Amino acid sequence: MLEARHLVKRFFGAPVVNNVSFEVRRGEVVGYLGPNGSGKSTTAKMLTGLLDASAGAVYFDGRDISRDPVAFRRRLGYVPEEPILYTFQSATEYLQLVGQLRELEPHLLERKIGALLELFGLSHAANQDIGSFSKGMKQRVMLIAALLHDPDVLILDEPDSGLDVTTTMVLRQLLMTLARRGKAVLYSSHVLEFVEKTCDRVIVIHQGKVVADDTVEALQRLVSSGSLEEVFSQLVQRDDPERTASDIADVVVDHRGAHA
Amino acid sequence: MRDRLLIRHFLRRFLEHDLISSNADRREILSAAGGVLITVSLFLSVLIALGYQFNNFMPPGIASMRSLDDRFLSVSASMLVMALLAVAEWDALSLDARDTAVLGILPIPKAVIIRAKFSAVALLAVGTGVAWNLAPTLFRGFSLPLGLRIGVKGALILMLAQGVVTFAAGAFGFLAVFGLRETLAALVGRDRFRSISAALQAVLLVALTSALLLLPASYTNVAPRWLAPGGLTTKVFPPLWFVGLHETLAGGVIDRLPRTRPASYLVLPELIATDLYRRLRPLYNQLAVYALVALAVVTVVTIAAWAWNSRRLPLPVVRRPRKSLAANLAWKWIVARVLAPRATSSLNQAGFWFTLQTLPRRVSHRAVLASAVAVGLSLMVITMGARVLVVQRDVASVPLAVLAAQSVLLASVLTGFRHAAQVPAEFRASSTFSLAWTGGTRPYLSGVKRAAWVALVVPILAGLFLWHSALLGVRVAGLHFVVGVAVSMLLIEALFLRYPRVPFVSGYVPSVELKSQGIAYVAAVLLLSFTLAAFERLALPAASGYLVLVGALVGLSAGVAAFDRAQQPSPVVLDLDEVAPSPTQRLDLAG
Repeated sequence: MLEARHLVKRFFGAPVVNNVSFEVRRGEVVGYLGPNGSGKSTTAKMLTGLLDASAGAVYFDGRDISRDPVAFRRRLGYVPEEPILYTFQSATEYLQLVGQLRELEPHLLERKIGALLELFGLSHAANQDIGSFSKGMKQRVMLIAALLHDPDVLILDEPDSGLDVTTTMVLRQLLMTLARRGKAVLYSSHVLEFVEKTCDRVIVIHQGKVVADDTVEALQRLVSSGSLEEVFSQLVQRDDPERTASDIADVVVDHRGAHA
Repeated sequence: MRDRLLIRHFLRRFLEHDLISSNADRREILSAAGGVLITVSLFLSVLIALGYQFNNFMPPGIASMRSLDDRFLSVSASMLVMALLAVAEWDALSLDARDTAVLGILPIPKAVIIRAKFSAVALLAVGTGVAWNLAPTLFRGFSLPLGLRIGVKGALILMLAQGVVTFAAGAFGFLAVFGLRETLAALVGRDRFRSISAALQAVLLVALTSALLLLPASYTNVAPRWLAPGGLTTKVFPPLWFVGLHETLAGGVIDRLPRTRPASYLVLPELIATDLYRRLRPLYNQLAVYALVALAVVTVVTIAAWAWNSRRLPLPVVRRPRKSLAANLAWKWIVARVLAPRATSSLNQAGFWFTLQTLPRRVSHRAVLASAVAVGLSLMVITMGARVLVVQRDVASVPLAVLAAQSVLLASVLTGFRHAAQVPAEFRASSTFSLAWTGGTRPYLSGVKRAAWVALVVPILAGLFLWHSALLGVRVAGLHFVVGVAVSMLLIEALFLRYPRVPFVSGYVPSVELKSQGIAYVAAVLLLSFTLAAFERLALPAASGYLVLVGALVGLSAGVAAFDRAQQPSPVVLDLDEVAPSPTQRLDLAG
């Protein structure tokens, strides 16, 4: 359904994403993992068409999305890494704006906004300025905005950051339910436990390159490990976390050279 | 060291808020603002000084009178510029929740933070005051006819008095606005103040900008016009207090000069001027006392209110949903059912509501609109003068200025609206549009235009209708109202002709026209408005002529709209981050 083919993105000549290819199929939740700065968000932005690729292309249902980006975005739901909203609007006003821009039928839009605000636990704050929202509340508004128009493809870039435990559990179930109903979901996250429990398949990216793309079980078999965390450690970690932590603690407690 | 760091931090924050710049380089803003302040004040000083060089044989009495006018100009300008500075920095004058979040967690005593903030505000005011008043002070010694021998000591006294008085007037202007803000916040509480703050800032911006624009047209004949009548007007007009202070400090330098016989045509004016100037001397002393007392009072009140408001560091407050008052609900109902009935498309609704939400809630957009209203009002007052209140029921003899006022105000405000539409509501959030955009620029723009009708045109025309009804009678005012509707249609279509971006969303691209062609634009607006008024005055007595005029205006706007539709189709993909054209020509000689 959604396919990245040899995607490359260079910033000032340096490749941030380097020849990344993968596919997200209908009915599938795909986890997209990688350490900070590995190129996850850059890939997500290229997949949505918000960022032009230096090379390669993104295909949706076999068609290059750059040929008709508007048609692709009609079927896309995207939750960016950072919830950037119009802070002077209320949640309802923001969602109305998004729905109107997507040309949803007014009555349907009103009904969906009311119901989704209620289900995401935001109805009490529906008319407050978004500027006064916590990060988790903003994230929930972004999630609703991404779901309003019943998209076929969902790209979620660390949507769980700032969410409380209950909402995270609801989100997990929601993604699996949507996948069962035929949606394709790409889920980028740092929370390995979440990915392990939710995703059918996992893609691991490191320094801009895909280093693994398989089911969780297959990856675990491959490296003879018990958990996804250990798989992830073996694939992308070059340093010993224990050693690094000890070095950091040494610097923190260092008072040599301070004035007496 | 820590105090200095904090003061520097707060000084930087003055350059970082929305009204001055949302995304600009700090050094660029500082140099531009400082350059404008010094250049404009230098230009005014040279202009005043030059005026005397063509009157070298002006006798002392007339020179004293002329000097009163110049002092009124410099005192008022200093007061208004400093008051506008306080309005521009409105929210940055006090500590806010961001300061608490950043500094509150550091091991710094609260008193140190508060002291540093107050010092930064004081430094900002002093720096601006000095930048604005330096040139007039230095040029004061040259702003006299060469024939008057005041000597070095006299020149120094005049310069010193000019410097002290204009600086004190500026301090009064700044503290009056600052004090008003802090006193209101202390009286009603921070939460309630937040709900009225934006409206108060906009009203002050309109009033002060209008006053500043009207100043060049109203600073002459101060003594006979403002001082001689005495009474309440003289005593409650703050610039006159500081003019009085100046005359008390240094008025004698010119007045005490020996009288020689001037040219015969100046004998009588010189006698009258000397007599009037000396007759007013007790008033100068009285006004000087007012100035000192007023300055002391605003200083004490401002510091007390600021200290009271700063007794606790502000915390981020989750605002309660606004309670809808009956009037608010009624207005929403009118907007939703009457002014914005069943929109043609969702995109149209998006443009309409997003505009109505952005205009009153974003400080940058409020500031642009307030300035446009101020320019429009000033042009109206300048062109109409005293005719603004003259009842005139005979259509044929209605002053053109009264009829032209409507077009002048509409053109000014709608031009401001177009400029506001070029400023993104929140550029970082514009990706909302990129993701949800379906390529319908035209219906979205149509919604934006409809919002301009509801938010600006309807209130302006309604307000002017009331005024015109009182002056011209309800029938003529009604006919004039219809002309205003037709003019608005034409203006809105013309201003948004081939509009290349998405209003309130696309990145701001500075327009060079505003700087280089601003005066020509104002002149064209005045010329067209008065021409239209002349046609209207001719057409109003006869129904056929009136219908032809309205029909021509409506036909013109329909033509402009049709021409716009015939142009290139709407872009499908948004380019929100359009790069501004380079101000310099690049030669690319590097190969």
